[in-house]
Order: sequence, then structure tokens, then C-alpha cells
Amino acid sequence: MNKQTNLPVGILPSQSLTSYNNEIKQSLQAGFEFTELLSQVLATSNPHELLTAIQGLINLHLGSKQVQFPNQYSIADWFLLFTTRLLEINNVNSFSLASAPDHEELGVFLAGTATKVRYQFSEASTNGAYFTEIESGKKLFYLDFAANKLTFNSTDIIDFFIVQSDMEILPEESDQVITVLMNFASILADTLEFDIDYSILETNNDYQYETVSTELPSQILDKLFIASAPANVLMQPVDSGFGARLVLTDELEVRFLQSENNRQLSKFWHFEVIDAQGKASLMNVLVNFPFIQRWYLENRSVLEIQPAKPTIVDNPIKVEVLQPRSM
Amino acid sequence: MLENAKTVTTNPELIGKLDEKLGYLSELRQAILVQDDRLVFELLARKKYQQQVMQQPSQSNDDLAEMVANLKPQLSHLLANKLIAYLSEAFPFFYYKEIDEGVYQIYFGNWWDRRNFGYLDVLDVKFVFDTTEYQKLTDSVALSKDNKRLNTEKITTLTKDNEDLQKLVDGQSERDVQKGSLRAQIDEVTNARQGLFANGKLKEQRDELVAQLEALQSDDEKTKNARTQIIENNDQILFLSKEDTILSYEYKSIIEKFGDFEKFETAVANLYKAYLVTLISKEQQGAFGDYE
Repeated sequence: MNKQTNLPVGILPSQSLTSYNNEIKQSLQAGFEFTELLSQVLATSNPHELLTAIQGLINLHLGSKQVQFPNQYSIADWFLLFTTRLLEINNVNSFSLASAPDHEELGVFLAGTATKVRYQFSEASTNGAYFTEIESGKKLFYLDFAANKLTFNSTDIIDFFIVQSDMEILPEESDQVITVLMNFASILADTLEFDIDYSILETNNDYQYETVSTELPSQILDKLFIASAPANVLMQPVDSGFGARLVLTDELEVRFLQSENNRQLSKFWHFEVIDAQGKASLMNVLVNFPFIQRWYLENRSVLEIQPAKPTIVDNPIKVEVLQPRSM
Repeated sequence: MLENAKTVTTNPELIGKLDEKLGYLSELRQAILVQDDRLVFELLARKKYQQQVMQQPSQSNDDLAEMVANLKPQLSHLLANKLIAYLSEAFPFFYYKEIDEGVYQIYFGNWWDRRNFGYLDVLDVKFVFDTTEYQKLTDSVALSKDNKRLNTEKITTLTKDNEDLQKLVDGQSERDVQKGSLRAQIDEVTNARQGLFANGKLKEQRDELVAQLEALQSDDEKTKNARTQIIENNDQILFLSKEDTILSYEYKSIIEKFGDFEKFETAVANLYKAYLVTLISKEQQGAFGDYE
């Protein structure tokens, strides 16, 4: 306020540029934090540390007006890095992580589909992301960090491995890929206490694969019966309840029957897959027994497995945290 | 009671008859008590037993057996036990369900929607096959020699019908275009006829066009029902295919056990004798109740 010198109002030099400086400092701080976290991700052999560090990276805002980090990986990449690192820590090597040569982007190849098919995470947010086959966009599972849950997507799994003929994935190949995915899921469950909804990949003998339809045309079972004869499989009525059982091999039996639930007026139908080792899922049956696969696909509107119940996690700022993929 | 004793001796014939009845009933009672099924069968039809099993002529004892006619359900239930155990080895593809005391329904096979194939007459040791179902089986066996199934022809016809119906449905839009063009032509001809130089040729031409239009309209009419008909035909094809599948399972099980259908028929015809001979040999081995 110096009227005599006719000078404009200024600020004290000692107080100047502080916010500018702070902004740079914060950005650099974030940069340091970033490298710390990334180092941790790359070096740790502890799954909990890995998860915490990855979540740190996912939530970290890197860069400001003053400090630019022009080449950044996306949230989807962090999900993929987490997945592959967790497999690596657990000595699973049936995958190959690949990095784009000209920009920051990761992809992964899995044993079974080799270099034929590449996978990434998509629609990634801080809450979770879909493990997706890039060409077809089929989402094989949803990895949910907010709910500590992994949910397999039976519809897209069937679409990807069975329906798409142009991919020409052989039964052995899909079995192999599915093994890798199941491996990852079981490691998540064992080391990080994630809930896993295996859906069509469930191998537990007691599991009931519930179908979407309550009203089942009576002819559906007759169709399966007719289809089973040329395959030398005998379809029989189940001993108790209403439905059919097919002994596929000495060690494998599939059942399709009405669920017995007195509380519900509507009658649901479900599959059961029983095998001596407890290793077979409905997916294995569909992949390896063409007559059941054909029947399933022809009547898919009523036989489709119930989609997993979505985990509802409110996140109103979901859109804001989505970062544009750096190119 | 001296008087009574006198009375007895005065009717030796009647007393003899009554003794015979008492003897019969007590023999039957004893046979049931010691589970001698063979003897029970013999007592229930001595002539049949003697002729078919022992191959010697015999007097009928039907008048005696008549006494226990109203016990047939219980007797049938009792004798079914060992008989069904025997049949499960001799005819492993038949299954039985007791729907009323001593009344056994036969099911052919353990597969989906197996057929109700008739009844087991336990006291006669005889299958009473459902004539319609048995006829289907014998027909399909005869056709199998030409590698055909019972419903092959019907299915072929229905499939062909469906293809034709589908063509009708698919041709709808093309017909609509044709109808439009025919109507325009008819209008043209009609207008021309009103002119001064109307002649027979134009009338002929018009009639021809109208006929064409009507043919197309009749196809339209058929198309209306085509979709329903296709669905009905598909249901029918499914039903017939299922029947063929069931018949093929039936034939296959017979072949697996008997080698050919004639041997099965012979075994069915000789069931009474075969079963009783088995009971006799079990008896000789002192192995009662083996089948329990």
C-alpha cells in the first residue's frame, strides 16, 4: 500500500511463488511415491504388499500443470501387472506378459491360446476391471478390488471358447486357458482371501448351476435324450426328483434336474456335474461333449446359467478416476 | 357220537371230495409256509405243470385251485418275489412296478421316458405285453434289417413338408411384389376393355391375370397357417425321433442278451417252463430262497 511511489500492489518476495513451488513439490512427491510403489510391486513376494502397492498406483494421480509425466500406464495395466505378478510370486509360468513396443501398454498371452489370443483388462476403475479378450471384447471375469471378489462371466466364457468359430480354439486349448484362469482365482482366494464366484467353471460336485429359466419346455429333455443316443450315452431319469442323468464316462456324470425348493413356487432347473476327482465343471462338459454343447447352444435362451449377482459398490466419482490411456 | 359216525360212512364220496379239498388246502398252506414256490405253482395249475414241465399228461386240478381264486392278489404278490429276481437276470431290461397288490406293470429299460410295456402275470409266469407297444417293437425289428427305423419315412415326409412350408413363408415378399404388378395389369386391361374396341382377347387376358392373382392369394392363405404347421410338424418329428431312439434301445438290449430277436421271442414263450425248471434245480440243490 505504498501510495508515494505509485507502485502497484505486490506481494512480498518471500511469499511469492509458494503455491507454484508447492505444486511442483507435490507432483515430484507423487512421482517419488509412484516409483516407490512400483518398485514394491516389482520386488515384493508378499501378496498383501503387492495388492496394497497396486492399489496405491491405481489411486495415485500422477502429474500436474507444472510437472508432466507424459508416458503413463493405465489403470487396466496395473490390474494386469497385479495379476501376472501374483502368478509369478506363486511360481505359475503359464503366461507371457507383453509390452507394447512404442507406448506404455501391457497385454498377456496365456498357455493354450499361445500367441493366437491376447488378453487385457478393460473398463478399469479404481474399484475393479474386466479381464477381457481383446479381439472379441469378451469379458471372462471381473476382478473386484472394492469387494475383494472375482466373478467369472459364464455367458462371455461360453461365447468366447465355444460359440466363436473364427477363433478356432480347440477343446484342449480352452481347457488350458481355463486352468490358468482358475489357477489365478484360487491363488487370489488362498493368499488374499478373495471370494470367487466360479459360475460355469465351478468344479465342486455339490454345486448347482442354476439356469435362467423356470418354465422349461418339456421337449428340451427329449431333445437331449435323442441327441445322447448317437453319442452312445444313455440318458436316464434321476433316482429322486424330476430330471435326467447322463453317465458320460466311468468317472463323469452330468445331471439336469428341477431344483427342490419348497419355498419357491416357481421351479428352477439346474445342472450338476459329478466326477470322481472333483475337477470337472459344466464348462468342461460343454467343451468336451459336442452333443451336449450343441443341445445347450440350440436351447441357450432357457439353459443359460444364471449370471452372477453383481456386486454393488457405489462409487459416484467412478468417471473422474478413469484416466485416459497414454499413447 | 355214534350217529354222526354212521352219517359219515353213508356219504363216502362226498367225504372223499372234502378230504381232497382239505388235503389240497393244507398242502398249499404248507408249501407257502416253507416257501416252496415250485409246489405252489404246481398246486395252482397241476395240468399245466405236469404237461409243460414234467412233459406228462395229467388231470386238471382247476376245481381245487378254484378255491383260492379270490386269494390271487396275495398269491401273486408272494410269488413275484423270487420270480422278479429270476427275471432280472433272464430279462435284465425289464423293470416292474407293483401298482396294486400282486399287479405288476412292466417297464422296458432304465432310460429316459421308457415305455410301459404291459403286465407280468405272476401266477401264469407270463409276460402280457401291451399289443400296440409290442407291435411297434416287432415292426422296428423287421425294418432294422433294411437299416431303417420305424418312423424314418414319417420323419422324412414331415421334414419335406416343413421345407415346402418354409419356402411359402420365405416367398411372401416376392408374392407381394407379384400381386402388386398383377393388380396393376388387371386395372390396365379392365380400363382398356371399357374402350370402344373391347374384344374377347382382352377378357381372356384379364381372366388369366385374375387366375394368377388368385393362385398367389391362395399361397398367402396357406402361409398364414404355415408357421403353426411348422411348429406342429417339428413337435411331431421330435416325438417320432424319440420313439425311434427308445425302440433302438429296446432292440439293442434284446440283442445284447439274446443275440437275436427270435431267441427272445422263444424265451418269452417258454418262460413258464424255464422258470419252474430253475425252481426244481434250486430245490435239488437245496438252495431255497436264493433269489431273495
